[in-house]
Amino acid sequence: MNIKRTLQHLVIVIYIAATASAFSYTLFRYKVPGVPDKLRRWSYGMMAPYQTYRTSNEMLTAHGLQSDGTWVPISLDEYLPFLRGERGMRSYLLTFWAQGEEVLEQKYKELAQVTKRLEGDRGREWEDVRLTLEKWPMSPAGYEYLRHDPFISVTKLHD
Amino acid sequence: MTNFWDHFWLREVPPHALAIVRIALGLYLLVYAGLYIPNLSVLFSSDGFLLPLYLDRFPEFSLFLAPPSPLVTHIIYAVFLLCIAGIALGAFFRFSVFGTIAISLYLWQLQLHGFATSYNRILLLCLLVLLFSGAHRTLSFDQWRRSGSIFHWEPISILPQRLIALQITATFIGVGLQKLWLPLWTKGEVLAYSFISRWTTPLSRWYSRLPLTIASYDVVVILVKILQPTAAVGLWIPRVRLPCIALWTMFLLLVATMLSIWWFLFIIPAFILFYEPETVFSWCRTRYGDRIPKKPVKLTK
Repeated sequence: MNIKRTLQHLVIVIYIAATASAFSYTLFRYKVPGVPDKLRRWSYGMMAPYQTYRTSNEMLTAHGLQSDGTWVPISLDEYLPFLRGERGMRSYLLTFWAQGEEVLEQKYKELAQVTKRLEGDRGREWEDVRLTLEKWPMSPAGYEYLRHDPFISVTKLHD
Repeated sequence: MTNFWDHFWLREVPPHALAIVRIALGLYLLVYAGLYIPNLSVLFSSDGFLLPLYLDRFPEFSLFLAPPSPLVTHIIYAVFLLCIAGIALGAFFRFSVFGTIAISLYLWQLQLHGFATSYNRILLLCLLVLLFSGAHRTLSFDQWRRSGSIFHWEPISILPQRLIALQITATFIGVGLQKLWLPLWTKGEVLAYSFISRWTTPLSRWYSRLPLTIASYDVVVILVKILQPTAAVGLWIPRVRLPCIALWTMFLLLVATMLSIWWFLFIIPAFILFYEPETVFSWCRTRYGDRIPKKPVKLTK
């Protein structure tokens, strides 16, 4: 058996093992022993879209503190130029979310500082910037139809 | 048994099916990457709204892991687009694929990276498979350089074609079967809510306002649960392949137009990989006649 053929068989075996392991995890949450976790998770990630859904809308929002002590909404449209769904997913900072709550909060804090810097570059100076997550019920009448009191709730994302 | 194994995984075949997928994937990636062009500075540069992923962990590599200036970002992105064009044209193919993979990973870790999504993972797998595939052995600039005609061809291993086709099948079967036990896929609410969520489109908004009961959504969910795994297996059965491709194409188009999740559309041209490469070759010869030689080209150097 020459080297090329050996490598081809190696690729086939690794691929089958990863896919079979991902299947067993997808369907039964069973981890096949001997398959590295990263390989299984990678393969699982390719067969796991759209497992869940939300019953309320959520959106990352920013507010800037003025010198008179009032908080004013900042539009993030310019900084998040994505379709609404993709924008939402990116706003969760899922890569950092996977590293734990503490890291996630720290990253939102950093993102608030980035927002403050970018706003300053555009001539809009704020004493401070804070990021929050707004949540409101969905409605067939429109995405933002119920985005107002008393339906809206706000979660602080960092200190 | 050995013969079947070798025949299925390792035989030498004409490269046309994979070359067609290479061209389609290159064009798709050009569109995907092109959509970011108006916002390069804000997405990938030091003037942008981003949180580099690895900078905290490896500060000693800040030269590579920190966001570059807007000018450098634009230069890198221009190289990125050239690499992608190289995939579509089959020009300096391995370099182009490697460049596309390397730069896309670099840009991904820089920006406000989404989770590693299913479609990006499948795309990356396809690119890795293409890297060593010989998909540029026909209908390519490289083949023109090698033998004087883009229509000349050289045989390649069927393995890359099998890997991509099997991954598409695995994705479809996994996606389909897990709906059988996922608690949130037991009723039609998953669709009803999705159609009015942030993934909504004008089409799904219109649909959600129709006077339909939740029972109609339940029926759609049951149909999806039955059809997805069935049609995934059907892709490998010659007699029902075409209707299964039509079903999956319709499904992917609906996901794109009703949930604005359009990134899976690159799978549609890849359905050609479920046909035997010899069949695709014959079809190409029927379509283009003797411009495509019957025998592979013999290179003297």
